[in-house]
Amino acid sequence: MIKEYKELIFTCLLIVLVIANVFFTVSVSASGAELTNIEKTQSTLLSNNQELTDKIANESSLSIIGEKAESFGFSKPENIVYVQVPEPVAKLP
Amino acid sequence: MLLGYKLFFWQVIHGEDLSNSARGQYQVGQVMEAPRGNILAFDGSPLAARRDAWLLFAETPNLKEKPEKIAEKLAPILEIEISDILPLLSKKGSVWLPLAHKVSTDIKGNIQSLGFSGLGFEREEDRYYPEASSAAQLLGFVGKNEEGGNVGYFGLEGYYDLTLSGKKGYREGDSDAKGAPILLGNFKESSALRGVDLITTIDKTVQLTIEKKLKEGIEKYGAIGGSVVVMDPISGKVLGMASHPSFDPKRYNEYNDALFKNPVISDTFEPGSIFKVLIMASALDAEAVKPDTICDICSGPLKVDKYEIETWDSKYYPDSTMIDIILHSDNVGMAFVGGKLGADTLYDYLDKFGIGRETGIDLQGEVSVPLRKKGTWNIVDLATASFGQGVSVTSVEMIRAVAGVANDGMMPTPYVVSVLKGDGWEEVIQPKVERVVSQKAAEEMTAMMVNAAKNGESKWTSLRGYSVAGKTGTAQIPIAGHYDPKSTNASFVGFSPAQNPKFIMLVTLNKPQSSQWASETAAPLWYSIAKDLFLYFGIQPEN
Repeated sequence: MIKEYKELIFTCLLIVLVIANVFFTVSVSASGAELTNIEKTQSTLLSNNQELTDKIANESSLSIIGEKAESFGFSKPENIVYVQVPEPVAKLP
Repeated sequence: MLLGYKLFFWQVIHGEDLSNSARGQYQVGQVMEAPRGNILAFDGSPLAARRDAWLLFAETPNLKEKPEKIAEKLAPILEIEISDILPLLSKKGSVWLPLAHKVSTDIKGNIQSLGFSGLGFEREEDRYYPEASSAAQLLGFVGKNEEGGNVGYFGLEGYYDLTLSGKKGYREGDSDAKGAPILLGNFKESSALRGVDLITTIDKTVQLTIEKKLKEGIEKYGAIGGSVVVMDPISGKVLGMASHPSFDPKRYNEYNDALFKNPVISDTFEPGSIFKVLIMASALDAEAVKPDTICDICSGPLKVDKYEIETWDSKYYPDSTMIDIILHSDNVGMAFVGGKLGADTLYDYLDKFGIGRETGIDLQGEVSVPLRKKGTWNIVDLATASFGQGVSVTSVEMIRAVAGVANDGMMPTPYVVSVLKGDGWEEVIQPKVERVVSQKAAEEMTAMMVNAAKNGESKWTSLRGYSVAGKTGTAQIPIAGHYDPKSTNASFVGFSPAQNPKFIMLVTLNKPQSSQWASETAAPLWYSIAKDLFLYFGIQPEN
């Protein structure tokens, strides 16, 4: 009777281990695919980030801003007049 | 028996081959490229930056359309001739063909929208220059080495190549039939280390201003070339450095190699009268002369050995003081000063000013011409060196030395990179300065330069009211053992304000044709640039 129980327990344990093994293998292999997807997403995001960085660099180029400013009618200051403010003497009564 | 033999044959005799073959199917090795570091201006905006680009390739067995049709559509998008691409597409016997390198993401999108099968893209790195060819000789360029890898040449790209390059990574592991990694299998990874970013001292506004003005100046004065350097004389930070003619780093292979070197650090010239600043400062420091010392040989040409030393305009001023000698840029007077100093002392001072030695600026390609050995100078060498002949300097050597006068006698080491910035760390480069002359000597020399700028031969072009210490230099060009009678190098070095200067600038023009005198070429160009810099740096007139 005890021997039969032992066999039953052993069989059940074996089945549980086999199922766990299959489950774990399937789960790990699914993780591999998931990892690939994450890496692809990461690559796409990095690529998009790089594109946006390039766009910012291009739009903030001083040469381009200068050309745009000129086309909008801005010009460099010429004939600047400096006004000398006299230092107050004996300001207080 | 047969079964046993077969098992032995496959498992023992061919076991290793089969095992390797199987490993080749599930083990994947991949080199991970390290992105090259960016080169940034002082405000963090890019001067040279990495960006994604693409290699366009064709898998010929998968091409469904005729090569002629594909070539016809691709050529205008890639901005090339059909004849450039058609022979490649029509090539027999090839399976994989590279069609174009460094294709931008926008163009990639346009090509993909054509829907041709058999065309593909592979990521590769490109260098992007938001300010186009600005500062090209300062930046250098990224070219290819013999193995086809990216290598920086000249300028910052060359000097900091290892720092910018980073370190490639490698990944190896088992993968399934779809290429997904098997996490329980063998997995080794050595991460790629991205290249370090360089934050430079370059101010884009200064850089673009000097480039524009230099180009205009070269055209106006008919020079064959020229350079402008702007530096902070207190710290040695290079704010701008431009030379013309130059090149476009994006298309470096279309230019002559001679344009790659930076004239500011790689070309030497006889400085002429701007050198008088160093000699006079040395004599003042050594107390060989005082500002009011009278020159008792300044009444006419000076006979030295078999040579006769004359003034540039054949005018002579008897009983000139040292102030007058700098004001009139008097060669005879400077020979007097040189004589008071003596050859060995003069040599020691020039050595302290770094003349004849590289400045150590962090740019690839710096050269220097050593001074004649101490103890071998004769009286002619001493006299001519006193007014800047018979010695050769680079522009960066010269501006550093004069910065020593501008900065109260403390000479800075010029540098371009102020911060090295990696992932999660940064290293700030500290300025280096060393004393070359006393503060008193530097102040006396500065006062002489202010007087020269206000009342000297270039006074007509000076900007009234602004505090400028400056000196012109018109130098003859040595060719085959004598001086070229027709051409000169014109230069002007100056700093402003004279006290607590915000910038020092050296302008050099090679062989200007409109006039041989620096006072009529380099000086007005200096003031033309300075006018913009005064506004930018907030320097106001004194009164």
